[in-house]
Amino acid sequence: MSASAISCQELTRRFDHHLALDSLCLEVPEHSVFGFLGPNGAGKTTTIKILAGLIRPTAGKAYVAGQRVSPDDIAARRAVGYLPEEPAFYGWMTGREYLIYAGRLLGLGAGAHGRADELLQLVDLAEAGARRVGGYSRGMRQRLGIASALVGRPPVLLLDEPTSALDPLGRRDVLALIERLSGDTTVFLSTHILADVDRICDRVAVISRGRLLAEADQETLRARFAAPAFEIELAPAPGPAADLLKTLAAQPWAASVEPVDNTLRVMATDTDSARRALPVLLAPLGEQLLRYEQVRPTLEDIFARLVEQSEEETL
Amino acid sequence: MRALLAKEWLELVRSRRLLVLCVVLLFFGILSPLTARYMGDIFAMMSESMQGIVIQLPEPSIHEAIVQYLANFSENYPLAIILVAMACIVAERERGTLAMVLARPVIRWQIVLSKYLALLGMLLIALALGGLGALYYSIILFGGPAFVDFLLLNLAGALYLSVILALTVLASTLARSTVAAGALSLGFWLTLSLVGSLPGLRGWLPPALVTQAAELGLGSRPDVWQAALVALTFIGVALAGACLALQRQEL
Repeated sequence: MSASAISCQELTRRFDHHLALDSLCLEVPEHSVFGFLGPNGAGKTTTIKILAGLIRPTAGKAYVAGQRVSPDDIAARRAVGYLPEEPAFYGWMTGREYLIYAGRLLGLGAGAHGRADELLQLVDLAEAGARRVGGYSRGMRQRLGIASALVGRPPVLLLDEPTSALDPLGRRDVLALIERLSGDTTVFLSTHILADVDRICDRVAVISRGRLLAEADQETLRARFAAPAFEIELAPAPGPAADLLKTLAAQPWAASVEPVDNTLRVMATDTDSARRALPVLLAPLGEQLLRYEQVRPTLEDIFARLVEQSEEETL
Repeated sequence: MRALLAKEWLELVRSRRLLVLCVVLLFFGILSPLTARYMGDIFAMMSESMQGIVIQLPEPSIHEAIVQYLANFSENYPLAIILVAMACIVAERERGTLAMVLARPVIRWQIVLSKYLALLGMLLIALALGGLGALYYSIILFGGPAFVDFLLLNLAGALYLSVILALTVLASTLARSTVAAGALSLGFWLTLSLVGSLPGLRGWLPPALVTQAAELGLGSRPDVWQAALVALTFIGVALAGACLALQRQEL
């Protein structure tokens, strides 16, 4: 593994009686696109705010690009580009003016103008750059936010739910932009949209109730945590699907059976038993059976399993 | 710091707060000598129409004009300052723009100082315009005051208003909403005025600068240094308090 761009050591944050982060330990390799996954309220935004130097941890330490992070110390903030979930701008400024302002705060001086133009091109806002930000759409604001986070060419980019408020087109544009950045910059991306992580992230960490549940590259996660899954597609008719669902749910090797339209998704605890039993159970369906296959477990399967396990342990 | 100051100044210009404050202070500046000169005539006309009522006013003089002008420093101008400055920090925190700035290598006291300096610049420009308006009409209507006396009067008054401004910036840092910041600023101002009128404190707290400014405008040279030093201390303490409060806040 390469050197860490971000390191969290026993990071803990308490808000009155609520434990938002519970001894989080995390190493984010340089130049990776790192997905930080968790349900709402899991502690994702708290972690990102600590890394951005906006709030203090109650205990533990965080390092970005080798610099200790603290609201009192600006050194680490030079290494970070930060995009909050809903980036806020001065509506009276133009997009270009905002990027120049951001550049000047980073000490770019006269070079801020050229950098602003370069970034407006990168985020496809070259034409809109002369317009006031107050008139921008959400997607445009998000792209401007990414541009402003990139102004100082930071080695680490912290993106808090960058696509959650966007429509499909805006989401596609922002994901394409993040993909273009990978390789040059370490991208730390918090989200609960699993498809985004599936598409662009090299490594993934899953967090719930402030605790790290798992951290690895996607393939390792699938191999380690995902139960084998089978999909059974039936011809549209109510009777057989309902009967089959009951039969499958009663099998000792079936962890869960989820109906989605005419398809049953079966999660198995024992692949071999499932492989042996399923053809026998499906044979009586005859022409009712349209498709039966073992499928690659999705990140959603892993996520759901980890979070459910964590919640069961908490209870 | 220069980038922050430039942004603050541009915001004051684009939001038209500079323009509004200039217009307000110019209006009150011009109104003061006009009121002093013509109030007697207006009341005389009113008494003619209201039989049996006699209103007696002192003979219009430069003294009256200066008293009228200085009344602005303890009534209208602090209110105008609170209105234009009360949102300066709290609104940025509410909107989220402060977090975007503080995630960059910016030290928090620089935010407080740049806001105070930009607002102070706006106040001084508006005060200069209002003062010039008042001086022009005072010279036309009353033949005075002397320029140096009027300048000293305004400097003493500006120092008092700078205290109000610093307290408003502190209130904007402490409060959780713009309305609360306005209420807290008014509270600071009223408390300062009340405490400043107490016997024993009257001569050296910042509100004394307004009384002393009247004497300066009329050619006397009272000892303003005590009140001026206390005013500067108030400004320093208020700004240090604002910096400390912002430093402790989490965004």
